[in-house]
Amino acid sequence: MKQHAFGRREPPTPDTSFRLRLQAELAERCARNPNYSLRALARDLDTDGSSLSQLLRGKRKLSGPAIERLGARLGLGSDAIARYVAGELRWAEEEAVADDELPNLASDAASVLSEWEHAALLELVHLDGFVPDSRWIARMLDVSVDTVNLALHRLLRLRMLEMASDGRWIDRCGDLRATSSELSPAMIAALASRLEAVIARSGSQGVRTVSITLSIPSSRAGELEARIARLSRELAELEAGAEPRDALYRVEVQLYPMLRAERAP
Amino acid sequence: MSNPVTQFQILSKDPEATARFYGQLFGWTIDANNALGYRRIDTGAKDGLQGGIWPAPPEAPNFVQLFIQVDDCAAHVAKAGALGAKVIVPPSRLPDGDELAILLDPNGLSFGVFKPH
Repeated sequence: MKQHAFGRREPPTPDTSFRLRLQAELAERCARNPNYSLRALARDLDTDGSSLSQLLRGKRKLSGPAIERLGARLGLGSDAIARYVAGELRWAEEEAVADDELPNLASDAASVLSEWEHAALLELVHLDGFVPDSRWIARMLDVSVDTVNLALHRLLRLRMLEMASDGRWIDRCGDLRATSSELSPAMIAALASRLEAVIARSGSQGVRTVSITLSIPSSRAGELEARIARLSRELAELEAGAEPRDALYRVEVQLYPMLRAERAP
Repeated sequence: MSNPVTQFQILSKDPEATARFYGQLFGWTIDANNALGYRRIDTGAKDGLQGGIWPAPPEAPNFVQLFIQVDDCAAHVAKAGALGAKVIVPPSRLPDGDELAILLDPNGLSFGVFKPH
């Protein structure tokens, strides 16, 4: 499942989160060298691409020894490594793993992590009825062919997708998790217009909208995000099993703090 | 085998507008009826190159690439790398069977190598 988590929480930064530090390192190296890739970073860190991919996406916890080993490969000093180990212990206590800020990624990598079409295209590749045709993909995702081709080009550049010599398109990325620091008005508008387009194309059948307004103690706001993260993991379980996967659904959960009541003096 | 320049590619932030402009200016026909939705340009002339239009990413300028025909994309990519080129898109088989790769020459100019099906 490609996860996109939108939300705001107390922000980890590349100085406090070793995962964000790795993301920033990848971005910096990609910016310096168009040939660079996640696999290249894995090689430089003396680890495998799959493990690194999971670490970057928060799908695998970072242990203290792992931070020490990888930090040493990055050339970090002992103080910095200790700070990251302490930070990881703090973040590990919280269930939700939504990031507050994206690092300043190279533009290709940033687009892949922030624009849903990339993850959706990679997900389509896994469908049994996948057609390697940008026009088909555009119809499936209800976007323009140009949007598909821009995403395709980025994924090829980043080696996240391979167009193999036998005609297969191969997802080299595995699960992809994208986060956004805040739901900007432009993003809200984009999400709304996509939903409208889906309904216009196929009718409202299959579209479900659940909207609730909660009045809660502000001290429990973090629990909202934790429960959303738990829901994401439960939904991902639907992808397990041997049945052919011939349907693609997008589930979006949006969390808005509407107001915070002023405390009485 | 010789390696002629066989195609040009216009990368445009507004491919539709570009297609319209050149179609109206020179009478080129643009056909996107293929598996990539690639806007193939037919100049209508026997001489000169044919080409196409591809969407440019928002952060890039509009520019033109040349594609050079080769008999082995992977071998030429390797050779280019040894000469200091960087690989942008590795050898990739397109849906219609053609194969291409995109590289940056040592001076940062992008170009493509292309093996027709």
